[in-house]
Amino acid sequence: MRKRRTILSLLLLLVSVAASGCSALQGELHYYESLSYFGGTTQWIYLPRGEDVSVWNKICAAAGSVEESVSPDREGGSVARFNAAAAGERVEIDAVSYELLCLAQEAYTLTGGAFDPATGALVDLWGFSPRFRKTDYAPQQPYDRAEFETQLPEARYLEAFSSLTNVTRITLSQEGDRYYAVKPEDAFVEVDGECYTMQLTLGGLAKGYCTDVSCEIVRGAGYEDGFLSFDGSSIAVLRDPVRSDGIWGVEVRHPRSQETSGTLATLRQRDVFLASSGDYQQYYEIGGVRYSHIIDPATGYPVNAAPGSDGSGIVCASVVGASAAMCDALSTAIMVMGRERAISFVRETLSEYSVLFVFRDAQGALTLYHNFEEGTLTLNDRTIREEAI
Amino acid sequence: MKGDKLGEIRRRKPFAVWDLLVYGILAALIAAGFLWLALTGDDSPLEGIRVTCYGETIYTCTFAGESTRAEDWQEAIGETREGDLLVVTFTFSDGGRSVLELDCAQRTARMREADCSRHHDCTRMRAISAADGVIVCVPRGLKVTALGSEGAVSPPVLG
Repeated sequence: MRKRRTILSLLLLLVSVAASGCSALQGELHYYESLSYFGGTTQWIYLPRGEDVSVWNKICAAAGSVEESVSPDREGGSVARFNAAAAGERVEIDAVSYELLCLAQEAYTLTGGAFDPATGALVDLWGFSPRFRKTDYAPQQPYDRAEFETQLPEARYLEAFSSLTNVTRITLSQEGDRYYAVKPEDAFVEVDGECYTMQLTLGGLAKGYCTDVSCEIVRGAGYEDGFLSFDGSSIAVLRDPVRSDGIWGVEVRHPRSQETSGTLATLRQRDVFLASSGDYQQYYEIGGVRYSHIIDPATGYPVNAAPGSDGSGIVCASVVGASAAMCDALSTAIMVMGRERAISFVRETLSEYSVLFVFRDAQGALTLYHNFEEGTLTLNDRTIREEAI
Repeated sequence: MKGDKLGEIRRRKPFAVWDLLVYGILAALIAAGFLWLALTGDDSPLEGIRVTCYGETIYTCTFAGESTRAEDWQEAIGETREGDLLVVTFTFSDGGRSVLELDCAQRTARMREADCSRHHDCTRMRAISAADGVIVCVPRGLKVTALGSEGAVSPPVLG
């Protein structure tokens, strides 16, 4: 009896210690946040409390230099200078843009051209460049519409700008610590006497890249717990200190539920990167058709909005893997590919990634496709069908 | 000696009365533990919201109808009732407006309108209905969070 009593007391003690440990650990996480206008996004991070803010400052500095490098409206930035260059011109770029362009070319090849950040001219034509965010927007380019949210672009510009794509046509080179990008000689078109050249839009990839760099800083400082997020579309999760297995429950935003707080699914993950793309954040609707910021380089139209489309298609995609930048590129590519191609692509090429996407049929019914291991994905919306890839 | 011990174990019933009592106590403790976690979890309904502008709290409001405004924002924040909805309008120095909608019946809050940018990102953020909710308007430095959630750790939200 004495032995049993001892065992029982020990168990009780264990339960008490575990319970108090949970609340203590929860109190040790600290929330940092920045409202810096990085592509119109926020960034935040949770780290154990009690450390100095140097890690956070380093992350902000790194994000600042990436923004400086890739923002098309930052005069003197690498992308701004590349976009302003004539066809055939060699442009010196910084190490950040060079690395991003190398990644972009790799992603373009991997996805068979579905991911292509050389769609900057099309993105601008459809009204999704930073200049269109400003409340005092006024038409500047010959192709600009006075009310871009209610008028479609002219077909001749669509056709012309669709020929300016394919990021692998850019020749990249490194000479010592200097980096160069050559705009393709044939990457120009003329419309009404005006010359237009290939334009880059690296904002999406840059968020993932920032997440990768920030995570390196965090890990380099010795942190193993917490998570960091760039606007929710690129996330690095380390360990959840509250749970003994360290696994975070990552909520995935519902692509068609803005009025409620319900989420699509919960992913159980630790020590990975996650990225997401969707047609629900940046878009406008004309005649019942949703025109989102994700452009299909093959058609020149926003995904699921090309003429003849019945409105069906992938409305959101999330990818979990070992690099946020690559996950970012892959989630965008999956949106562009459409259901059948995406399923084949995931099965044949993405065995090292966990992928989910939501397909919306012409009647508006949603189906979740995924290849997550059993127990790592919980579907929270029971009205959605679930299919394994 | 070894044989005697084995024989004794074999003779014993697999579940003696005291064994069952101990197992029962353990099961009750585990059940109580789960109940405690469920009751103290972070799924309590939203009590109210806090609005900050570049880190400074400018407005708080509970669904019971008690609200506060920062001194500099007395004139710039207006409240109107539309049935169960409390509509709060923030007017900024540039003449711009952000309109927050609190549903006092559903205990949720969402950004109804904003002229901060032409894409209106904040109006497309999910409504706040629990302590971990947040709505951010980047161009205006505006952030809406659950009242009493300061320091709480929200789970990561993808998308």
